[in-house]
Amino acid sequence: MKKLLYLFICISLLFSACTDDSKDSIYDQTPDERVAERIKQYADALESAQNGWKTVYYPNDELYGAFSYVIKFHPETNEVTMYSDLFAEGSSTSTYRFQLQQEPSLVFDTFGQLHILSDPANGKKGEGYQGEFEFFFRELSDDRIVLEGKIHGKELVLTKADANTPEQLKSNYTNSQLLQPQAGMSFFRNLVLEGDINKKVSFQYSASTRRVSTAHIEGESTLTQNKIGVEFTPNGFKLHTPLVVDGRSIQSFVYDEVTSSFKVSDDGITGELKYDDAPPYIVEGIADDILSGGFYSIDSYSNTLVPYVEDVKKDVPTFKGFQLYFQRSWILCYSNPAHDGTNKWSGFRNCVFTKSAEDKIFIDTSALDLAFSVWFYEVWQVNNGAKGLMAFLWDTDGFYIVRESADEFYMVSVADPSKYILVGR
Amino acid sequence: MKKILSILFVLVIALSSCKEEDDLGPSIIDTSAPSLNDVDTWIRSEYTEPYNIEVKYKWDDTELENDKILVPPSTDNVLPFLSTMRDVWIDPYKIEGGETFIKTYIPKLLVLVGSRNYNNDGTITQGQAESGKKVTMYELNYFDRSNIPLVKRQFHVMHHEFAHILHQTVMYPVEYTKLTPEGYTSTWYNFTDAEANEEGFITNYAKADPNEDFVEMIATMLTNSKEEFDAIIDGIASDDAKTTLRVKESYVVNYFSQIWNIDIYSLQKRINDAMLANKETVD
Repeated sequence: MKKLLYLFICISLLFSACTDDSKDSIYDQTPDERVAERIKQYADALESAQNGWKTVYYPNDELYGAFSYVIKFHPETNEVTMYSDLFAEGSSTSTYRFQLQQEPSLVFDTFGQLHILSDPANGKKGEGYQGEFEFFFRELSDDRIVLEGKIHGKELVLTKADANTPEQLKSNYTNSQLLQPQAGMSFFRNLVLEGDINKKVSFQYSASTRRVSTAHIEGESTLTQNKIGVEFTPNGFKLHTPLVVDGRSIQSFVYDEVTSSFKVSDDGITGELKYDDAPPYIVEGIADDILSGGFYSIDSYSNTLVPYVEDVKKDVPTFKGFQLYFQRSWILCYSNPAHDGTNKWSGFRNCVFTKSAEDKIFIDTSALDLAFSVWFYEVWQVNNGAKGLMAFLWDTDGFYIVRESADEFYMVSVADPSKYILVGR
Repeated sequence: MKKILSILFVLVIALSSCKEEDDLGPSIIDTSAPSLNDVDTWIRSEYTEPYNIEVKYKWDDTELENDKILVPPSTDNVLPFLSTMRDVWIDPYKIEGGETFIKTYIPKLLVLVGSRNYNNDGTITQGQAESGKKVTMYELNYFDRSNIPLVKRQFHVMHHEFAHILHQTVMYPVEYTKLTPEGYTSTWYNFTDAEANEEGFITNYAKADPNEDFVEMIATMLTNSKEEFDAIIDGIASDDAKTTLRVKESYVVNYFSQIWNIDIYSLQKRINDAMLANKETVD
């Protein structure tokens, strides 16, 4: 039996001779060679553009507008120069590399202007603007390269820049400043349409998200609200997707130096962004919405109110914020650690938040009294900022209410619409 | 018969080799040395050659928590940070503890991150150490050597992590863990430093557990002058807490002198002098 086994092993070994393994691959090169060549193709293209590449980058077009960049590669030092429309001027110098990890990719591996959109201190805390700095390769042609973000998968489309593209980004920046709420101007800014369509569209720009919130009456009576990302151009700005009003598409705005306003002329209608003292129409039920909310903190102040808050901080160094208790009828100043060493909260009670119209409320203070502790009352007596803020809140003309998000509202002074606050739950 | 079979067996095996020798061609692995920029060259001469430390400042996501959003440091901040680290951390330890000491225990991989590291509970992780080999430092993009409170805060992390390496090598006396057993809590961040002080803890993070308590004592002593440290203790209202912290201090002093043969007060002075001198350096 054992003999047989030996014999069997010998025979099988005898037949286990070598064969010619060289099979025809469907590719001419090994996988490694192909990867190296793919990296080289993209690297050669990216690095050869004399003036670099430009991009209008939407890190997440459902949440944010666009940020424009010029990215110029210097292969001899592995450095990259970045310009953006985030700043009035200047550029950053950082490093990059190509690597094979999962698949061939381009990594901007030290901090440059592109990383501002990824920095977790910017945008949404802990998350940034969802921008990326590691990209996979997707498309390559003579003057267009498409990269794809490694984490969120959004595209970064590069087209060839020319020598003055960095200059143009400065104009983009200027337009981004002009679209921001201007100091001392009314909260209400409308797109006033003229021609076949005579309508006002509420048009609020948020610099922190680079988006506009629009609202208009579509047809005769349908309130239509949109949030649309903005990309700035050397002449003005462009909406990521057209704003459609009664079937007409509005998208490209140009800044007019003469009238100091943005104008649009698209699809047979013309329009202009103009300030107004009141909202263009009444939003039914919005006062009830905010009043049902219970508790809000003041999240931000119009630039006309900011000096008041700075004034309060001088007398209350541990100031954290003001809180509006709609259901309990309190207005409280919150400090942490406690301003008087004992009570973190101090303020007023019997501040009755009252509806005065479908889109208006006022605070009834006819039976005003102190709440919790006396320290804010003492500050209020001597501090002009505290006096100014309370006068703003207690104005009997009250506020227009404008919804910002599910949990956030603007309260805009009826008497002076350049004064407003954003409150959130 | 068996012998013949065995011979046959050997022969078959001996002959069953391949005859064709393929030319494997040139290697496709890129073994060329990466080009070094000024930062790389400096790191090589100041960190890698003397201490065998690898410094990773260019983005490498395999070294970082992949559920966090982080960004790499700006190259402009890397050398100011590393030269400060050499002056206020490595060199004082080298002089007080000896070259063998620092070369043995210094972490061998230093990963630098530009941004803050936010946690879901609202806290920020300033630094991390892993098994004595690797230290990750965050917030490089905020570094400013002339801003002493900031330098103290960042190097507090470094001293903190290095102290972990020391006690993971030789444990401190177990009696230390019994000094304030009631005060340890996983929700330490609900306390301010001042509240923690009144319970006999040097910082709020010291309330996390005895190990953190011990290394927070060390880090606080080494990032403050003796006078500043005494002022923290003297500012506490509770006499019990003052006494407790002085006892904890004496454990630290003895641990450093008996285990590592280091006079911690001398180390403390050297670090503070270096921090003040470093403030004046122009990058």
